[in-house]
Amino acid sequence: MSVLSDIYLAMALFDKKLKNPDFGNEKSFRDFFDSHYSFVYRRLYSLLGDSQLSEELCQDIFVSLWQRRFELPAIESWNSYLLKSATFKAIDYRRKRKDILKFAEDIDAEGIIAEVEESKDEDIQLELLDKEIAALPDRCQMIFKLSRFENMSYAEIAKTLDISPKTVENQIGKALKILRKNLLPQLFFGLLQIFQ
Amino acid sequence: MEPTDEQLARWLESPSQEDIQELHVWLDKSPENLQKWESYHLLWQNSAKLASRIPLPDRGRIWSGIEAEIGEKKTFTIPAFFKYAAAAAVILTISLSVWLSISPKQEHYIAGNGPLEVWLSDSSRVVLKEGAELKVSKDYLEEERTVILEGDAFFEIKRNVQKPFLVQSESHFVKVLGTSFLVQSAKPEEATVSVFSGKVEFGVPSGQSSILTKDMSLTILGDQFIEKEKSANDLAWWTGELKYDNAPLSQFVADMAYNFGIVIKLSSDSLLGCRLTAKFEGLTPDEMVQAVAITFGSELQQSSKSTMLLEGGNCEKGGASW
Repeated sequence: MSVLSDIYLAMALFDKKLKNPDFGNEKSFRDFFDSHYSFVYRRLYSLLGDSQLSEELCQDIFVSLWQRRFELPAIESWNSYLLKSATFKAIDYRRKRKDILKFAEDIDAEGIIAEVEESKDEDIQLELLDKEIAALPDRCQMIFKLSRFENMSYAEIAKTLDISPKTVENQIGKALKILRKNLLPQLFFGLLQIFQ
Repeated sequence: MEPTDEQLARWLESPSQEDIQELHVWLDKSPENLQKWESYHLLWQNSAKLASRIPLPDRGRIWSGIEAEIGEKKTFTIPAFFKYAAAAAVILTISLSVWLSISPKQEHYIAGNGPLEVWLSDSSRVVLKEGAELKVSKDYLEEERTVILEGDAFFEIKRNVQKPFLVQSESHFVKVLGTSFLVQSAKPEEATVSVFSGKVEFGVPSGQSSILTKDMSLTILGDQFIEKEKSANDLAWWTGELKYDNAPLSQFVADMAYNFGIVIKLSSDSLLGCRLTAKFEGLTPDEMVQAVAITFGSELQQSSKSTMLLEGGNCEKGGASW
């Protein structure tokens, strides 16, 4: 590790003692990163489904944190702060890239549907489900992914996104109905397996 | 009949007794509903399975990107006008000869092009004037707060009674608990400290030192201690502000040279004694000189990038605010 980063680590350490940012109990910003990056990345990937993009946005989040370290308010829980940052980062990214993403997903989903008709093993079915989820309307998709991929309760999702629990339920239900409608052939096959 | 979106969502995650009753009522209505329910349930479970397919991130790659970004943040943007906080401020001029070889245990900052702002690990701030160098030990703050400076710099130091802040050189030292000060080093063996507020100890390592308080200024030249008038204009290279209250034009000429490296030549030496009352804010150094030229009715000629010639003019006018 370079001398330079050591200096930054020392700065982070000092900040902890006197003022924000309090980078947890970590000895350095690097340590802080090490113990938090993976769930930040995970949240980004859950919502975006692109590893390179998720790594880049993960970097952005930590860099921004570093740059704002003197202005940050007191952070009670870094975990929830970072997860919230990642969630909004992903939502914000999608909002900006909406048209491009939508187009790409439409094409992909069609390709997979064609594929799945030939080979029906579970992996492909999950793949198809994955693509259909990625093709859900934005808001609906984010909320559904937070529930299913991040295992968050409706109440947690509502709190994170600052929306009502009713809205969360509404969007989850909506997502399920869309998915079922679009995946009926696959579901039919799945149900046969269950009943056998 | 379909359940509402909200009902469906609640049935799948932590349903209440009421929700379960609703579900059973719905299921009983039609055999088709059971099939639908099974398909929703399957979607619910399968989508959770997708979560385990998230690939592992490359920690090293992510960090190297972050490091590259924050590594470049060694210097910070300098605000157009720095309002020196009431806390404590000192202006210090030190002349330093070569005093230390570069050691790997030090951070070495050089203001190569314009002022360079450096944050120390205790949130103390150092602003180096162009050409200045600062060395900060890697264990700064761990044992003590000592830095080494060559050239001029303004310091804004966080108060820490346990660990006084020390600016060291071969020939001088400045010791403070918490304050801000500017270090200038034009000539060897000469140092000046001007205190805006707060208290500092300024002296030579051989033992002689002096305590300075607010608005005091002291120059140590060899073994001579000379009291001077404190001037906020010595900080104009950073603040961008110059203020004159019936000051001789020669002072403006000196300030432009010191702060901005602009040499002002006058066609007539008599102009040097002209009195100037003015406040320059938000102007570039060139504009300041233009303003002064207009004030005294002189013609301004730029003879080189950093040399300007004031031709003609007289002392009649002298008060202006820019």
